[in-house]
Amino acid sequence: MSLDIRPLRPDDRAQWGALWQDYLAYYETELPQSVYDSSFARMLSAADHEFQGQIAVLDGQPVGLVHYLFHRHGWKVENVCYLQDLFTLPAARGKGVARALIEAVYAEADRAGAPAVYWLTQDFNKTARQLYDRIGHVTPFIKYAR
Amino acid sequence: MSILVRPIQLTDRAQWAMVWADYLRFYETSVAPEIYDHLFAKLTSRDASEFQAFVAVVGDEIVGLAHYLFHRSAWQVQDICYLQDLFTAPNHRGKGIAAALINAVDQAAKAGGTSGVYWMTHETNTPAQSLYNKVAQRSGFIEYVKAQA
Repeated sequence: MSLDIRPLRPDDRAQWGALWQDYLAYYETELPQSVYDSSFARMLSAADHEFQGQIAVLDGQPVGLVHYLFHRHGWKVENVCYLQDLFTLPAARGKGVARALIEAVYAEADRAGAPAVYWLTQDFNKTARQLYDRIGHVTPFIKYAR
Repeated sequence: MSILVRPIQLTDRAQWAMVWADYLRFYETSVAPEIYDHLFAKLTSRDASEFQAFVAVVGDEIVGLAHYLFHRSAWQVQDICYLQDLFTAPNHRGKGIAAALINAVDQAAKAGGTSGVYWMTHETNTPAQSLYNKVAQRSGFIEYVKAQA
């Protein structure tokens, strides 16, 4: 088994789109093509304030993705890293793909000098949290939105 | 007593710092003096890509603050608004100041073309949540962080 985590490339568009669609379906969300186009273009732009994306390739097949953003934090001079999207195809689970994707973001955050990496998850997502409890730790903070 | 909520301005530096220090103390933290300088410069730069702020003023006293940031969301074309810091001085609570600050941020977020406002709060902060449950939705999402080495 060979697992490679690498930044998104222009020729990943179709396979990345399929993975992201599956991820969004988990959240019972559908987004218009304009958002796929916009987010993909932004991730390829390599601009500091834009999302960046990495893809997991297992034995030649794209099986996972991660999207992350460096943004300001009012309490620090450095930017922090927000990991918004993380997904592994169901058929490729249990092989360390998600862990490798998170570790790739950790490495990028270290390289960028970001003192923190954070992400949100649904409190009932027990499967994901088993990994998160090993590779990170839960905070007492909960999200509100309006 | 009338409450004025307005964007922060350069002459607020000293009072803003005292209120922010009280807020940070609530979270049992403090930051270095240069962080105050750094953040205040951002807040008063009126740069929509940097943190922005409203203060709540009673008479000539700053009694509350809200710090917010527009940033990208991968799920949409427009930005989203993160309300990071919200505070009302303890002796001015129960007067609707926090709600007024949230409303001001919400209006600024809409005017700035963002999709909405979100914030995080401590799970044990029930006084805050009694307000938040009225003006917002509890999302069901919790926060994880990278374990510090």
